[in-house]
Amino acid sequence: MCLAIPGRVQEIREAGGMRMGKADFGGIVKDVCLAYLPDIAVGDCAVVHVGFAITRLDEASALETLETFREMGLLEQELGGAPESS
Amino acid sequence: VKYLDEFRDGDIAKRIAEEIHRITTRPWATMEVCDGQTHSIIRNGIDQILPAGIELIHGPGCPVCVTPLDVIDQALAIASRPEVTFCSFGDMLRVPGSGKDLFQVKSEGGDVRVVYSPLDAVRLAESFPDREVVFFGIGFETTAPANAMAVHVAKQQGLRNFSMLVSHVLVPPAIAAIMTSPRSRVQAFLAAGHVCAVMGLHQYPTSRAFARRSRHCAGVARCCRARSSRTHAPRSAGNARPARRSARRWSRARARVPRTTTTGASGMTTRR
Repeated sequence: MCLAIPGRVQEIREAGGMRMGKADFGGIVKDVCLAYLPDIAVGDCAVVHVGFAITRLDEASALETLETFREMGLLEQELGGAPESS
Repeated sequence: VKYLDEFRDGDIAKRIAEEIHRITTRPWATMEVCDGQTHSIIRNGIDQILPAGIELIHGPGCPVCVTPLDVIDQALAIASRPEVTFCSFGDMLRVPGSGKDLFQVKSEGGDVRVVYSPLDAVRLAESFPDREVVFFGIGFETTAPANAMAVHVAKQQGLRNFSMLVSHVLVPPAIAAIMTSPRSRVQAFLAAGHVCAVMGLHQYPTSRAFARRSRHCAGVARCCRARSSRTHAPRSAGNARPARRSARRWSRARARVPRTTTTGASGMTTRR
């Protein structure tokens, strides 16, 4: 229970008046409660903890860290330029 | 998920380690707040590649460790009742109370169930109206909203057979206590990322709290990046047991700096 897991929202539905959905965690699809992220949309990534999406997975933060790597001269050597998305 | 592979690139990690070696000119005592961070550090061997002068001190951020003994005993007593279906996160089942643990209650015939989400416990209450379903609501700022939502949903559905044994604790007061303790050797933190995800950063003490205490302050290393469960080793009974000895100390929010002992060749210090 300690870790939150990044997943991609696959489907959003209302269940008992609450915003629920399904998220894909690297192939494993689980029910998640989206009540705390009212703006999240299908296709967005979120950090999910004990079945609740607690924050959108911030792509800008990821890019910021990658930029730090780049400034240290690490990414160019490893990836040959801009990071590729998978 | 995008970029995950880039964050796990071993060659990049080695280069960063080399850079850390290059810029490290003096010893640092750094505390990683979460046990998830500790697991990642040990599992990926990060402690092995850091300079010897960088000391990693395990922090208080483990819900299994900080749940007080009397709450565990309450859980055991409730779970042992014949009319109760007791639901818990899996981590808590091996945490010993005064006499036994939840696994033992289960083996003795108690209806103890592991759930992933508190909403699973609500569903059980819905499915089994003749059972008293009790959820063990423990954890930090990260589980509190989920547990609160379970209560909200149960009330909305008019369930009369759902209840919760609650023991929530806060991370920032523990960090503040460490930062302001005159006995503390901690000079930097790897802070609790998911707590920040829920609460933001404003609750954390500023580096001025460090400055008041130490001339060698560096501020708080903020870690708001998401981690993946793939780097997380499951908690075993082996490390749950000794860790609990510190539980009551932390839960009183009068955190003292853990006494450290040096282990083996890694040069890493531990309080466990």
